[in-house]
Amino acid sequence: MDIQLKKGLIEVCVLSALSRGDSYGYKIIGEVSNCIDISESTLYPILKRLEGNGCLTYYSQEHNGRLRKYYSITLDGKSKISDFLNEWEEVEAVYQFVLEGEKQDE
Amino acid sequence: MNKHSFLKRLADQLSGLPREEIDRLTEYYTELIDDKVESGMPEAQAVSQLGPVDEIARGIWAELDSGHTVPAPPVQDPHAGFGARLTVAICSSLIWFPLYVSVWVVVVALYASALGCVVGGAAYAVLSVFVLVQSAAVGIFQIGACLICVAIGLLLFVGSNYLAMYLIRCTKFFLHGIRYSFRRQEVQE
Repeated sequence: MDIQLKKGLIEVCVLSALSRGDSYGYKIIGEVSNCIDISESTLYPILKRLEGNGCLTYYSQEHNGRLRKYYSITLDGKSKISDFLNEWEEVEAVYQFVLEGEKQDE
Repeated sequence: MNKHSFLKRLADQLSGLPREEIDRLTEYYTELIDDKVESGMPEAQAVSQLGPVDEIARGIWAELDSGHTVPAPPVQDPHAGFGARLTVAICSSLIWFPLYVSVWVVVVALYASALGCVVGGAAYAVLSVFVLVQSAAVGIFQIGACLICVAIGLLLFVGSNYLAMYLIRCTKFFLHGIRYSFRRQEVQE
């Protein structure tokens, strides 16, 4: 899969995982890896980028005597998910167009 | 590899990044390892699952190169404050230049004293040989005093050398600073 496309999809997956409730790095990886391949080193820059874009915020909370960072989705993050869902129809149309072209070529 | 070694190697390979960013990355990986261990995984396995440190560091640097993660540091105007620095340098020269010259005068005086002690002591020691013929005790005393004088002269010479070397190093450092300021001015023009 194209790297940029994959990054974009992982971003939406991370936001979707957060839309189910605040979460932390290890849990996010566990949830997102059910639908797309993601590693620990892939997640960090994505979380940072999403934070930079205002799509998520984070806070630290004590857990078993240590601090754990929890991420929360923001309104901008929710709006990004909506944008993705709205754009998907367009992507599907492109997919059908490319598929038909391939069939005619055969 | 245990958690501590992993985090240390990662921090080493990321040296050059802002301290805040290194701390944040270290916290991120610490938390992941702790969570894996908490879920029942041995620490060594939790660390090895993260992948080789070199690869992680390479990925982080690649991400930074692509300009997505950390914004480039703000470009500072290299000429900012040049006039102010020049004014301060000229005004302060009224203090530091006489001081600088005085220190060199002291060094030259020390060299002259050293030369005087060595030459004078040696010459007087030679002359004391004649005194030795007339009175052994006075002669030996004089030769001893002359040798002490020569020794003091040699010590002064060594001390003066150290002081002169230190001053030369300071001068080079100072001249380098002036040259650097002028280069900045050339770029501006």
